[in-house]
Amino acid sequence: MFSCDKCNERAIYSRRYSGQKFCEQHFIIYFETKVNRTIFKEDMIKRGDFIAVGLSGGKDSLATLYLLNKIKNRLKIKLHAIAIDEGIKSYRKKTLERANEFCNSNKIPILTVSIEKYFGFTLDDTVNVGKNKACTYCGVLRRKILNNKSLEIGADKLATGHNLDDQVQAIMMNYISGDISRIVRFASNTPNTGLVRRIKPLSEMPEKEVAIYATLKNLGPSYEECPYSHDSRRNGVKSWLNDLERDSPGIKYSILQGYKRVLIHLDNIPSGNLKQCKKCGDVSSQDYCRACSLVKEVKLDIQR
Amino acid sequence: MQINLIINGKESIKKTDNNITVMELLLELGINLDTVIVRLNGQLCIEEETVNKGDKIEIIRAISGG
Repeated sequence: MFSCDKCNERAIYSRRYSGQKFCEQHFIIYFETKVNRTIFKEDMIKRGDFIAVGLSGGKDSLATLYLLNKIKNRLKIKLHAIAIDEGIKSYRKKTLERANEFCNSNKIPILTVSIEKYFGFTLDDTVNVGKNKACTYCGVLRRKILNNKSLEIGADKLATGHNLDDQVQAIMMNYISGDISRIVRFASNTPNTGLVRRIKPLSEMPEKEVAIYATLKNLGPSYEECPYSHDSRRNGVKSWLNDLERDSPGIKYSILQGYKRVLIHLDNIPSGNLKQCKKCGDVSSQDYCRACSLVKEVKLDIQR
Repeated sequence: MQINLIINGKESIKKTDNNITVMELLLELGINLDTVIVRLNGQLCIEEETVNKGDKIEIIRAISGG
């Protein structure tokens, strides 16, 4: 049996890049301290903020809402969950049930929005439209609903459950595609008219640590995998990063920190001219926002 | 030696070397240790832990799918 570095209890997690071993209690203290430090270091929350939280019922969003709920009284913040039903048969129902259960037992208001009601089709309907594009449709449409609903309920911020792995995957995908504007825009905290400021309290926490925290806190998330996640181009990058992390522990965190250092030198690069989408009026870098373009694509295909 | 293995809910019996660590077992199974959490006889464990005859090892995927 291995012991915790801070006490004599049985170690349940070994942080490979630092060699530290934690028992249950000290892992929870380490995790919560680090998340709170990220929140304050990045100036994510101000006293009295009204925060909308994107809630899927998976471990990341449940952990985010749980942690924000813990500091709610201290910071006098108000929380409101927003869940999205993408219309994925035999997958989303379970996670949405868990999301509702969690909110009901913690007295957090929750709004569930269906992609079908919002756009007129389900994610299942998009599968035959573009090869390997289910994740693109899902991501873009979800982002649009989350942003618009956050604004509608009057939220100051929108918190999402993106963890360190998600952040690093996005950074590497932007590097690989060579899209400098997007590289700059990805980190942008500048509030734009029509866009609620997004915050990611778990952005420095490895996905595995989030899973352990959710398990220890009995958050009961579903670990079922979305049936479309294998189609994602992101999966290749994810798998490559996991291999790198296995061979060089701590590399994901180094990539995130390196990206933040690179950003300082990209100060003079414009993050793209933002204008209003000609169809919906939302903020967009193109004449038509990504969501409107994709919706048009799907509807044309369905009519055919 | 034989161990009881549960991978994402699927149970099986596996023959393996004596005194194998969780990390070595994951390597043998071709599973990246950064993508899973492991329970040894029902309790979360670190990958340096040694597996003994008859132990129950549960491997749960830590990555979510959306």
